[in-house]
Amino acid sequence: MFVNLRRFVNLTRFVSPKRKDKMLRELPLYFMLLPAVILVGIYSYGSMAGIVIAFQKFIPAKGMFGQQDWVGLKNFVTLFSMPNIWQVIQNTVIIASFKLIGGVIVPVVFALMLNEVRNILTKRVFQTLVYLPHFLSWIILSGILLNILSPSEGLVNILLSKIGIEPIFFLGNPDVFPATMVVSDIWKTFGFASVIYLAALTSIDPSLYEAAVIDGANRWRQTWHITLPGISAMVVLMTVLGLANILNGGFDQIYNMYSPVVYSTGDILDTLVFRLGIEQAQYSLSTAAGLFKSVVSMIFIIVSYYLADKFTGYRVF
Amino acid sequence: MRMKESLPRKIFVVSNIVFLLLVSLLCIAPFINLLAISFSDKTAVAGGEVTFFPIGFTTVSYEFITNTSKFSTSLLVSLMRTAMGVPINLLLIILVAYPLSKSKGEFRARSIFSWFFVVTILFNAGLIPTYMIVRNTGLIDSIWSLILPEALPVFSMLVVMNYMRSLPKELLEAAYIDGASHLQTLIRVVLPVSTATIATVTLFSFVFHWNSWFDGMIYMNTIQNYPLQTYLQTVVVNPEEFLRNNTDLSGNLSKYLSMVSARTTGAAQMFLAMIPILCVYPFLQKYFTTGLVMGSVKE
Amino acid sequence: MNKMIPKRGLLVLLALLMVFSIAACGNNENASKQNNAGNTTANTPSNTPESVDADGKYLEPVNMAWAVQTAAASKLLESDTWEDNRWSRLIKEKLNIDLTIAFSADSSTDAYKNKLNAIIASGDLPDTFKTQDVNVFLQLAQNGQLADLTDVFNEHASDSLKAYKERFADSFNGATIDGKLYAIPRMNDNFHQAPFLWIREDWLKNTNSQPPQTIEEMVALAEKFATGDPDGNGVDGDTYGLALNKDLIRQNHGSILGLVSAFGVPGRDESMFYRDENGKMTFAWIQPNMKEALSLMASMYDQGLIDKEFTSKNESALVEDITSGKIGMAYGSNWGTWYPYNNVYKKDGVIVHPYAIPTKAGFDYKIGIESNAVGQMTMVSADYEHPEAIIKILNLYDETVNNSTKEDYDTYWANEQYRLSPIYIDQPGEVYAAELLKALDNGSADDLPPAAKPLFNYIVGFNDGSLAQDDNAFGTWGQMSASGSLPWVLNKYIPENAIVQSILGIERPESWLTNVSSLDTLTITTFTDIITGAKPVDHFDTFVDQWLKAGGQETLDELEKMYPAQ
Repeated sequence: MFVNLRRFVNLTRFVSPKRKDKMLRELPLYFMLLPAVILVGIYSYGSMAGIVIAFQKFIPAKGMFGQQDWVGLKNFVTLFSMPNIWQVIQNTVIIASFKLIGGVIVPVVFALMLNEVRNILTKRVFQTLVYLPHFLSWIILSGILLNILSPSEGLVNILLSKIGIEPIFFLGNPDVFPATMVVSDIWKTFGFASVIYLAALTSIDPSLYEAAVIDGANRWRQTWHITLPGISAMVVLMTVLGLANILNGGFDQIYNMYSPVVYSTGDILDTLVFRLGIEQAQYSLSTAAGLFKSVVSMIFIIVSYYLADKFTGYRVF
Repeated sequence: MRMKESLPRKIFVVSNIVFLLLVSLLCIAPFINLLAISFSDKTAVAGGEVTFFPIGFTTVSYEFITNTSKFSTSLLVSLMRTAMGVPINLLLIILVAYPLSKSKGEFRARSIFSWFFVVTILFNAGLIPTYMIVRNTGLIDSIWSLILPEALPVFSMLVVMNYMRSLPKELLEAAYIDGASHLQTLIRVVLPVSTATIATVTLFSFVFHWNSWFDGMIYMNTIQNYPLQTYLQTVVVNPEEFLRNNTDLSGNLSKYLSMVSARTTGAAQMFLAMIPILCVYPFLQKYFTTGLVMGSVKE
Repeated sequence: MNKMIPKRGLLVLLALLMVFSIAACGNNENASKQNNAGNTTANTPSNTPESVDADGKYLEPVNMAWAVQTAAASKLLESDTWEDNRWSRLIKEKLNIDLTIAFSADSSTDAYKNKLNAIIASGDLPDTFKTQDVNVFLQLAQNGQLADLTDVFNEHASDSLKAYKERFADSFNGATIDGKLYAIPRMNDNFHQAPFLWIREDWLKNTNSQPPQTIEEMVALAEKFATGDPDGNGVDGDTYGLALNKDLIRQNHGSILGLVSAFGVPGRDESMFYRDENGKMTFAWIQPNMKEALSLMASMYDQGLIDKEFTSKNESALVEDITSGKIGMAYGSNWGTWYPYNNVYKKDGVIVHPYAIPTKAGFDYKIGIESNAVGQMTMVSADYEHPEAIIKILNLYDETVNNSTKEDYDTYWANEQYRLSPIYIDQPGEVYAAELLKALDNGSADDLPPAAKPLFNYIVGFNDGSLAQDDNAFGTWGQMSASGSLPWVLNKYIPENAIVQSILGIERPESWLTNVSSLDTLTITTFTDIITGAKPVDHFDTFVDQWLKAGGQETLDELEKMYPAQ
């Protein structure tokens, strides 16, 4: 269809032939983007205007566009003067960072290992099985974890005692709690994430492998020199996107498993804000916290974008 | 040409399989436990007796969920939104990923659009502003409220875009030289070799539409318009949340919990949610094959 | 070959899309019509409110759009739907009011709360709706968005209804701002929130013990339970002494509420503000006596009489231990036989009995309960032309459920059917505890209000064995029979003047709203640390300082002004 567009675009009279060609060549691309731009513009950007709530004392009764009290940065001041706020932010960053690192490495390793399986049926069965934990809600999973991680009768500690390790209070010891959160989260999500890398593996030109085999490279060298570079773009993308979550410690998970005993290492920004909001109309504070998180994520992403560009010449998006 | 399999290689293959097997078992164990729970008598479950086999086998939890008035209506709503939402997602993902996968030289404005979409992942004004927009565009109580606001899943789009960028330039140049327009290139050259990544995002889209419950809850005013998961949320009780929201009704919760177990119905709810996806997934796995076999470029 | 298929595939996709769009557009129209039906009330030319017949029935049909709270507990029977059910039909027949649904959402989760706030923010207030959220009520009232029901109530409420207003004056005061009644409140008397000590009867027998009357006896019993073999399985020490959950101060099973009461601390949740003997505004958790209570618990934990893992278990997590027979003693609320001890009865045939909380010599025990002024409110939008309609429906409700035949009661109240009415008399069965005891003494249910009669039957049925396996019977019996929990309140706590009621009503100080969550966190964290021995008991004094500095003192000062001494 678009090949015939030349007949309808008269503006091109005023542009030099080379630029005209370029513009015409790009025009269909604009058309392709149009529907999504409209929808995203309306729904995502339209609602983004509501971020002003973060600067108001928002009372739903007054209506969204009503006369809300403008309080400027007061909500942020309230947020940052909460006792332990900096401890909480630190907890959040630590937990989120480890989840990010583990959340990239484990699925990649798993995808590589799965890739070595020759039998297609076996491969698919494993792939489906590890995908399952994704479906467990944290409400259900927390009940299961509470059970198996119990210091007195939990399965895990029983196994540990058989190899001579003292019982560990996984959910009640602040030193161990964050690690428990990170590991259980990675277990829950790695199957889902590995799908992306498995798909990426298929984009690698098989003739590269054939050439390597001819050159006498064993499987390890093939992996190191062909496979990993082949999926590196996806790994970088996932890592950078993961930074959008740098201040999301995982509310659902932590809320269902934390307790006052582990607040010092386990209380995260979202659980703190959640408790803040229970007694009062919470919208101003949670929007302010959300805005803070968004700005920080934005900074992280911009920085990593340019770092990736600088060191690899690759623009992530 | 096949290399002879050396001993170290054989050891690796075997230990690889063993390791993967262990991991898979670890992943499926909770499900066997939950499946047993969903078919068990609630007192036995409350006492922690159920491990991998049901005790006091009963289908009462499933009956409880499916017999409640609006189960089939909500199922239909979910089917419809998935049937409409997934193709729309895919269409938009492909239409956006392709232009953005072009280099700066070929499409000068690509970065602007790129950031335009990425920013929407980062900034979100929360419940009330989102509700307002949906309301002001007349979508409250309409099935379109479950489709249009998230019509372009940006994360999936970035995955596909990234993949398209990794395709060999020669492939696309060959098409250009042959006089193909962008659309023709997209359809005839790019898509056929991108089946794996498209299957991936189809899966994500399917899971999203099938499992999502929050949008149904906030945009639908009446129960008959609820999608499945939103509806199931109303039927299955989470005691902690109930107590938080009904501080003076905790006695009521107790009376209610004495009759229906939150754990057995919760388990049943989860299985009902999983099953369609587990049916679709193997079907999509077919596409996880190397896509570059076709359309090879002649030097 | 391969090149053709994708293109065709796309076309098929597009075609499907078009088909679905047309189908969906159809739905959309219907949905909008439904919405509009609900919203036209504001635009209909108003019926003059006086155009009613002799029975108060409207001559012209009146429309009312209400917000439906669905909850996991709500039931629709036969072919009833939320739009067309026994209540909507009754209301139409008797009052000529057409009920339409403005929206429905689940009130047992955050869904209803969030939905209501979104609807309020967009200005689409339904004609009538309920909320438990005190802030919503206050803000709407202050913003002039609620109808003033004072006159309407006085003119249209039946005598029976007016009697309720007298009996539950506190509740109605809670719904009154500047002398104007802005909502119909939950009509409740919170005496039943008191804690009890629940103990397994078989463990008492196996250890040859009596129910403890004093704290010392309770500790001794806990030791027997923790170190001995109360469950008779031949193993010593695999059972708990006293069970605790991680939330400590909430009103649920395994809390510390009854225990601290023995030391004169009327503890309850995070909002127990009251005036002490000297008339000074104070807060339960900063009482000096609390130190002794904590000291006791710390020593119990140290000796292993309290489960070392309590810090990670919420109430739900304790249920498994209770059902599997590890727990024999815990402080808890009045409804234990409904849940969680119903499991023990079902599984082992063992009854867990509620006892009055053990006391300590030298201390006057004090029980903390919530103010009667808070609870669910039913409100009417200021834009609605027929505010009196809601009172009429309430009259109808009262008449049909409380003052009519057993049949009517069964049809319109039993099985959660009362939820189908836009307004109902929101009362827990517990308020009938006193009447029930009297009736049980007399052996006759004749003088009981209709709502209490089924409860009478349950208790009698359980006692004579005919309903021994019925969940409802066991539950009710454990609450309101002579061996139940509530008689302890009526016969002991109240006559001994142990009940202290929180003054915190609808109006809350700004400093409280901002700081409550961090104060609550501080309290629970401190108590947990002291009990587990992570911090010494003297740390309590530091805690009190911190509490006061972190907004506690401000709150007390503001409360002094907000709720002046009578």
